[in-house]
Amino acid sequence: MPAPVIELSDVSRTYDEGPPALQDASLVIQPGEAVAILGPSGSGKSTMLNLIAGLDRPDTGTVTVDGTRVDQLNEAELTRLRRTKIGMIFQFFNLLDDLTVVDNIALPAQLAGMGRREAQSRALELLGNLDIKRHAKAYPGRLSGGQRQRVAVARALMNRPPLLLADEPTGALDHASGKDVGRLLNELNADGQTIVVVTHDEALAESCTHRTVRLLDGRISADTTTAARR
Amino acid sequence: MSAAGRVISAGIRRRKVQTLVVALATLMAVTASVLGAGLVAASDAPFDTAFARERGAHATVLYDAAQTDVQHLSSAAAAAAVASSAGPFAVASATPEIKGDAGYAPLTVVGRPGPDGPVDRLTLTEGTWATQPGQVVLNVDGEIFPELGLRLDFPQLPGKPTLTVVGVARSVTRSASAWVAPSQIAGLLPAGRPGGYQMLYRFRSAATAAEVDAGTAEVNAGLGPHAVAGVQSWLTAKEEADRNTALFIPFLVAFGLLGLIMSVLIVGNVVAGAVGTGIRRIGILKAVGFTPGQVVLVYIAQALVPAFAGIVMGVIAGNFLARPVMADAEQVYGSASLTIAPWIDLAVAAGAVLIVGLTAWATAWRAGRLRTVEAIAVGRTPRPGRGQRAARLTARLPLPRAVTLGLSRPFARPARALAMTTAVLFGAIAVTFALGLGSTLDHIMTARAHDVADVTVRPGEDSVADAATGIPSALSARPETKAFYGEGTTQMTIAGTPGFTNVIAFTGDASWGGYELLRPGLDGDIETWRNTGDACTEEVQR
Ligand SMILES: Nc1ncnc2c1ncn2[C@@H]1O[C@H](COP(=O)(O)OP(=O)(O)OP(=O)(O)O)[C@@H](O)[C@H]1O
Ligand SMILES: [Mg+2]
Repeated sequence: MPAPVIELSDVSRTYDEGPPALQDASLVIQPGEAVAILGPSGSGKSTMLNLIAGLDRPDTGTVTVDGTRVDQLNEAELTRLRRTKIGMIFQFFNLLDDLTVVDNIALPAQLAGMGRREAQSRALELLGNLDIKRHAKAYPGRLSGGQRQRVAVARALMNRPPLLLADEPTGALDHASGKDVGRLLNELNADGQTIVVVTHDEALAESCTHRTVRLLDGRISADTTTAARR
Repeated sequence: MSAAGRVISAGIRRRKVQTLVVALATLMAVTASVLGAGLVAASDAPFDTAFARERGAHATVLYDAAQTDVQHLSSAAAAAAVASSAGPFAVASATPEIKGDAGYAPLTVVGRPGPDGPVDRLTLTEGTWATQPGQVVLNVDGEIFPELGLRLDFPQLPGKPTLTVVGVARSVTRSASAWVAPSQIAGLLPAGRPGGYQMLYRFRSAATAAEVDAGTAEVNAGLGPHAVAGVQSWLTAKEEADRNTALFIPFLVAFGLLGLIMSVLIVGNVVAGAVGTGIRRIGILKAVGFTPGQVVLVYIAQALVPAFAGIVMGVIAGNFLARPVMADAEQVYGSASLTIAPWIDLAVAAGAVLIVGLTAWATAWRAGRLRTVEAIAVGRTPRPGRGQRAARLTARLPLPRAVTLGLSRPFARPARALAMTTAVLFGAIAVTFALGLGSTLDHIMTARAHDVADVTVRPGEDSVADAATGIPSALSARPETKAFYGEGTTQMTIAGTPGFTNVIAFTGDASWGGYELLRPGLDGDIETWRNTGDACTEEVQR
């Protein structure tokens, strides 16, 4: 068995006020898996994903991504880790409104040291794959929600990260666009991309993942494999 | 372009309002600071500065032309105590008549070939130098209000000459009331009178009255007892100038400092605001792969680029605006040609770069260190913390909800609220100060003009006797008369004081006309001055 991409052990996180948002969570995810994290609102799904992405730090427990102890890195080291190992997709896209679509996508590669020309051509290639190449020179504010999320996916894939994380990627989209994004994730996983998706949407979970982790009040309440791994 | 460069230039180009606000705020702040610092610097020993720059004369000596000769004076200038000298210049004392009005004091007219020279360089504030016969340059600080084209008649002099004002000049030494071309002096002398010579000396040491006296004694050694008609020490002018400026310096310095403080606060506020509203963007940058250091760099650059434009324009605008303001300051200080020193421009520019850079750095550094999730969320939802407690407290107030919500906002960002409050405070001080100063000066001007009376009656030559008794009783008899006083003016020479002293006699209470009795009269009562022949002396304060 290969080394796991993600390993959480006994991870807890409590915000300033209220009960723990995540409590004693342990989870192992292998390369090539597509995992859905499901649960009611406030159950700690985003908290778990942010901890994996190194956007937040656990109070106790350890978080390991691709062999690196994320919980022990400082901000600058976390940034470097995110550049190379993790692609992130957010519910509200988080694109830079003042850069064009192609510049938005090229940015992570340029930060990782790729030349501008090379980064741009890879960005255009990704845009082609995602079928939004004609919007390359547009600013994100001009695009529809579904198109923006495709741009966000392209940006997340730019550095060919071993891990793709998505927090409610269809949360701000209509039904058709949501299905579209689901199909896109499915295709990526079919090519071997490890994917972790946080969602409310059971249909999305079913269409693009084979394993479901359920959270309830900050604890993992179920972990089921729903389909055979492709 | 690198990733950071692309983000910086996009941040500047695509956020036009913010870029413009930062540039404008810096522009105004730098303009105000250049002016303020310029005024503060100019107010530092203005007389001494101007005196040194214009090479004012430590001693201005008037010689009787009949008792001395030009050769002797030229050799006196070689004395050991003398650092440099100018002259001898021919001098005449003549009383002008202007538009038929003969009520002018005699003018000291000096024949000088030009405004420059090794001592007492004159600054032409208007017009040109007098080079032709019939031309005169008036002293800007003299008895006659200087006006180009004004004609001065001298009907008592042989040939009844007339001089036309072609220029106005300022002498830091106050060496003359008017200047003409040297050849002109002969025509301004009464028949058979030889006039005088003026010598201007700068001594090697002249800090005290004793040193000035010693220098003067050395240059005048060997002259006959009546050769020296008068000596004017620079210390007299200095004392007078210092007394005048002591009145204005606190105001100018206060204005300058207020401008500087306001500028710092406003620029800090604007930059902090510009960076602060970008916190969500900072979160995205971090999520995409910017390190905290790169984030700080991006935001410093984004603030500095427009600030730089503002600084350049501000320095230019400040120097431009300084011209009229400095001209006013020149009048106040009685010194010539004040300008903004280059080091002020440099210091203000450097200060502005520092303030903008530091504020941007501090704000971006704080934002850069926020956990990325928080940074992304900050743009969406208000941050919990102090603001929440304040929000809960204000929510209990018996006020509309919209008001209580607004009331709690300053507590969410106490530092910025404080800076804003201070800026408003200083703004209020500046406005109060400006208005107060304006109205005070107005008051002073009205009082000094002594023309608050609704009606001023000037009795003719024949009715002067009447003025003392008949007119007052006639006025008192009229019901519409609220108050009145009569005044008579004469000039008096007081030993130990140069020039004339104006003496004004009143027939009644003149306090409403802008006159104020500062100290009671000699016997504790001003009434003792009432009768003709009463002795009067003046206490001269030194
Ligand atoms: N920054 C924060 N500060 C304080 N409490 C927080 C913060 N973020 C989340 N929480 C709390 O932690 C708990 C878990 O939040 P989390 O965002 O992980 O839930 P979620 O499962 O993603 O919910 P949703 O489906 O609504 O997105 C919630 O009770 C939430 O109120
Ligand atoms: Mg969530």
